[in-house]
Amino acid sequence: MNALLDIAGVRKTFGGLRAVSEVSFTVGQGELVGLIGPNGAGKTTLFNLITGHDKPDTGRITWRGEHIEGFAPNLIARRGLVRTFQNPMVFENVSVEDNLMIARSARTDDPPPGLVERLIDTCGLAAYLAQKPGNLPYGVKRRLGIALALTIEPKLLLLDEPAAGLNQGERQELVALLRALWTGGLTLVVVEHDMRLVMGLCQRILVLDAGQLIDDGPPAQIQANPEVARVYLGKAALKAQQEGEGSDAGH
Amino acid sequence: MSARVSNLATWAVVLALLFAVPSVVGFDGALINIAVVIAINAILAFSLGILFGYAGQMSLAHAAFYGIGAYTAANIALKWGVSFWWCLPIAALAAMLVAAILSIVVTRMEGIVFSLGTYAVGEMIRLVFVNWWQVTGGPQGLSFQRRPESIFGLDFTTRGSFYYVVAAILVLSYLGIRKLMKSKLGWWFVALRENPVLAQSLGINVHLAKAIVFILSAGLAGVVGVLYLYNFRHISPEAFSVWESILLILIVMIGGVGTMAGPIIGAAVFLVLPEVLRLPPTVQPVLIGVVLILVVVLLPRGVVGTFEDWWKARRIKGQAVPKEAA
Repeated sequence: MNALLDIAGVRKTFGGLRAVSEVSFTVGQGELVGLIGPNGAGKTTLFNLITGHDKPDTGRITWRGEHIEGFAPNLIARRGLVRTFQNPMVFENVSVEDNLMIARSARTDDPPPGLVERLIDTCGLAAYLAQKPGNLPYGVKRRLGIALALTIEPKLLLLDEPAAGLNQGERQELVALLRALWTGGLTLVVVEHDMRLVMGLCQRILVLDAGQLIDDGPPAQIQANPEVARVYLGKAALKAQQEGEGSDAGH
Repeated sequence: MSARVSNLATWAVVLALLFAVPSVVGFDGALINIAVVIAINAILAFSLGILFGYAGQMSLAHAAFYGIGAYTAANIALKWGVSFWWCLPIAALAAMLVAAILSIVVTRMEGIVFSLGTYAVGEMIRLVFVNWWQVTGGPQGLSFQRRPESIFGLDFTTRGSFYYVVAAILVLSYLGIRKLMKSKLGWWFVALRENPVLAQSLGINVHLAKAIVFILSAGLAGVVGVLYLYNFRHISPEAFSVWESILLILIVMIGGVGTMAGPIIGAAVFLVLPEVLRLPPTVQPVLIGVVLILVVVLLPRGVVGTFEDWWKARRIKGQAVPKEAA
């Protein structure tokens, strides 16, 4: 498997707080990776470091053979490494259609014919094109955020808590969307709190606690790891284990 | 197709109205002067509208760039006899050059910090106008008696004919800005206003976009400086102070931030209202304050923005909008 993204010994401290400490992992082409951990474990900081919104103190971030640590976010996005944000970030005061126009303008070339139309369709935005996102349901905003990222055709998409604030129906739609994207060849890394969602969706899970990577493996391994259960999963793990025993982890 | 026809019709009516103004109000006198001043302020508001309205950057240095245009034109015209027509692009370039140098610093600032930074820049440039008296004539300013040279056999020495020059530049800048806002760069400006963090994470170079919009808006302001110079025939530093920049922001807000017609309406309302009300000059700042508060509270989208919203709402009500079941 080709390594797309290679994180090696990345560390970030804020004052005395070590937000991310000596984290190393790689993400291969075509993987669907979950990144979990309790609040404050450093997941979003890690995303910020990877996508250039923050600079690591030490360590290397290599994207397809190129060191990108300290690059501006727009340069990293241009290379095909794109993220979404925890609070769905969209261009609030312009219509959904204009949001997509802005995303189009972020490309150096014209999008392939039909791409934007397809995204409108897969992300379920057709009914909202003329509306401003400020008035739209959370789920639609999230899908718009994802559609914006997809308009620039990333090679790897980092999703920061895409299911937060969504209801059950919206969650199922989201899972279906992410699965479809993955099947379409997109590599995905998903930060998520909803354990059942992550366990059901991802083939591989990274567990972050207090800035350190404490496990990395398929869902079954993560569920079986007592340390993971201790720091994070707790009851949720037991519940997921009871309910999801033998259910498919990835495809 | 009918939209295209009605669009063309609107343009024909607007152009005809602009053309007819001197015939109606007279080729000389106070009324044509007001028309010229409104048009000049409308172009100035356009130039700020790109930066503040579309790209969301509230600059308090804008009047300074318009001053740079005016002083540049006055100097090259008085010293070297450069014609009005060449003054226009040269003044634009001078303002753009200064903006380009300053953009290295100010484009790193965001939001209120950008406003404060440009406040400092505007005040600095005004002090240069006051103190560099060899070039600027100091606090008294410069008197200027030249008239636009005739070209293509057309004479531009009367007020009415000067009105046509200003109106033509108004129309051209309107068309230019409209084209710009439909281009890739135009979307970058909107992205910069709406959410720079998201814009950057999509690959948009927001620093570059901010520098470009800052320089472009300064260039158009520089052109207006030339018009101001030839219209008032006297320039002094107070005309280009931060206070003037604030009034410009107010004009853009009254008209409607981020709308095409807003600056024209804003300039007209702003300049005609005091004339009509005939208020003493001491009361005017108070009136301006009251108007600003009323606009922010009652018409946050400005006159044109509010009208657009109302028009859209009316049209949507007319159609049966299919609501998607959530």
